[in-house]
Amino acid sequence: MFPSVKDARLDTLYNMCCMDITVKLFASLRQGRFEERVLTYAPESTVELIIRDLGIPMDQVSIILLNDKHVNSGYHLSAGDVLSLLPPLGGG
Amino acid sequence: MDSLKEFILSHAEGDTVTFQVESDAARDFGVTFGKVEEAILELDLLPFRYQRNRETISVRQQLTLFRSSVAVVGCGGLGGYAIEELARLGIGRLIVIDPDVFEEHNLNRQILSTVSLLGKSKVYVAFERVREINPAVTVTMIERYLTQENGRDVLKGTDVVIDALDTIPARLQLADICHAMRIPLIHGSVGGWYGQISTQMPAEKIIKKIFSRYPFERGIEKDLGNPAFTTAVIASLQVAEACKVLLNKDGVLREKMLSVNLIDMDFTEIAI
Repeated sequence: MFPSVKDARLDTLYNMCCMDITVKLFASLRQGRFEERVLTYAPESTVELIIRDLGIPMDQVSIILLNDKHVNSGYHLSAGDVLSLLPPLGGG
Repeated sequence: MDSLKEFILSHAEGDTVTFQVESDAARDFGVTFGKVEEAILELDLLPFRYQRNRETISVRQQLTLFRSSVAVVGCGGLGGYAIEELARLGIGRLIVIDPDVFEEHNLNRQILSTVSLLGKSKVYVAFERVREINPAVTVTMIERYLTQENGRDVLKGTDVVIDALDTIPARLQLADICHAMRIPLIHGSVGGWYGQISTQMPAEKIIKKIFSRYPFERGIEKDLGNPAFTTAVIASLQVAEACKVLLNKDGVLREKMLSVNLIDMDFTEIAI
């Protein structure tokens, strides 16, 4: 994210090239990464792009929630979205 | 009043009945411990073994638990702890389901496994353990996999099912069977320091939502394994959920999942 920008024209410019997404990671996905962070992406970026950028193998993600709704990895994000990623746990 | 109840009343100490009296009653009247326990609870008395539960679970609720039937599908890590706790809780009937025998790699976490029991049937060991803990509990052993074909027969009359399985396809199949039979299902699974739990009530399909986009048999536990502490925590949470469902209490994890992270000590409820 850019430092606080007061100028409305710069805001518009920012929104044309960037969007802020809040990413929440759970369980093992946090290891070596983070619990929650705001990341900046180009508009229309997909969930899969973020997962790959975070270095998470796709087979380590079983639940993708966007603003508390299930989506698939090809979903295109919008500014302000909250993305939660959970790994598959199957053991007993 | 029948003579069994008269015997119990005449030997009650305050409003409790000791195990010695239960044993004498079972022997003298030629009935099971289950019959004796039900008679005690119907008299609004409490078997002394539940004394330390009574401010949490009333005598009336104890009778409800006694008249309940819980199936534990899988008698390994989660299942072993769940069976132990359900027996101590006084669930009247347990159906324990598992085709396997104990192996050395179970010893890291499975409470029913011991060195001397390696090679023994898990359901038979569960049966013996419950009899040692609480002979009022009736145990039905099913030494087979639960399948779409036998599921209806095996789970018939069950009030709650505990998902203590160890593969994702088996969990999805169990969720399907419980959904079709309208039986509440308490899901729990673990991997490394992490676990999750959720309750699927009849008409809901949360387990499918949890695993629907994941096509593989095993999750992160394939690499991280399942330590005893994670397994025991999740199994205990499952039994607490089962108890709440049976007693019709609020606060059940419906349409959400509790994500448990023991390395960060983080417990987060996630709407699913």
